[in-house]
Amino acid sequence: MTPPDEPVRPLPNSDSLLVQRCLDGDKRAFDLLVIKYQRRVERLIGRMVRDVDAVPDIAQETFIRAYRALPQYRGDAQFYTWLYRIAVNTAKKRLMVMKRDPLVFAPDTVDEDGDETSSVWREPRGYSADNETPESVLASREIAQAVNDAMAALPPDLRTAIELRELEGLSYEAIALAQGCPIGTVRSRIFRAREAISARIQPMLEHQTGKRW
Amino acid sequence: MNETMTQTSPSPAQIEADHWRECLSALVDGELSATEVDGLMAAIERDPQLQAVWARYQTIGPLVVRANAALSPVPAANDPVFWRRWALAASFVAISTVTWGLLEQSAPDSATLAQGQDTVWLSSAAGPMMRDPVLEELLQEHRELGDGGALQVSTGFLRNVTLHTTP
Repeated sequence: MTPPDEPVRPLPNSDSLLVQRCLDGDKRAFDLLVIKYQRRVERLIGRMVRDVDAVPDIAQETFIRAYRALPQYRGDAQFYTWLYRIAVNTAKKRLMVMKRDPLVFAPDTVDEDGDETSSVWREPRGYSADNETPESVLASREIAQAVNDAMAALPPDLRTAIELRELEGLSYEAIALAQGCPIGTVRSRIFRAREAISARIQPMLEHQTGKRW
Repeated sequence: MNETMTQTSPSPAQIEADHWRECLSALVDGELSATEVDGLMAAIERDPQLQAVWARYQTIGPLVVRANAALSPVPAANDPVFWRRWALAASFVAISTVTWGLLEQSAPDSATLAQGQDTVWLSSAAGPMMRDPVLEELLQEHRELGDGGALQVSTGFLRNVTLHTTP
């Protein structure tokens, strides 16, 4: 446990870096944030509205509103938590216009990290895989197996680096200390591990586009 | 130390592409320096494919976590199904302990059972297994009795049956 007098150093966060660049006028940084969160926001909206066709539209509106409101983002909450609230409000407003009875998901089930607690293994109603089929379950298992196979096939240094990063959430500095190597080596190892895993699962992901994974 | 996995020397274009992908990977982890971000943004503008790489890298982390959880033999701490089964098993152990004591008529008094000693976890081929120390003591007593009087009674019973059924 961290002693109270020791300052807690937050883990590096690409979101804050990208947000700052957006605030400095770099729209390309916001593109990366959109790419990062688009699917997650669409899943969230998909749980709120029954009209599947409206989901991309509401998601787009969410990002536009977020971009305009970005100067008001103070950074005291995680970016996705902030974005989540905008998405929920945008969806609610749209639903009032549509005058439907749409809420199939309680929007207050969000934890402090901004994750919807009910969404760990579920996709939005009608938007993708709410009506999970045996085929989609099998595909998910195959992908999980492929990821684990890819991890197992990695050289030990690469596997340890990616595990420490993705499973333990360590910073590059901490991983460098753990592995006894420079930070640049850690960065390279994690990159190559991601490339190897990506190469293994990319065909499966392309086959599963729009589905569970 | 050269940790390059490729056998042939890559072209300058490939080296540059790898460099920017590595930068994207570092950006995913929030570990890219501000100066490198400048270069990366310009590279993304030149090569829109890098946006697809960014999207791909975003999926790797959750996939690794899910795959690890999906194939892990230890149930997640927040898995309600696991805790329901655990509660059921614990109830069964408790009921078995009381029933066993009553049947043997040598069980410790209720105060002893209610003392609530710490649970013991044992490793087995089937994974971690919870054992109640009270139950362990009773089983030990039963084994000790089985080595002596209980076994003799059984053999005596068998001998008697043999005597009675022999013509």
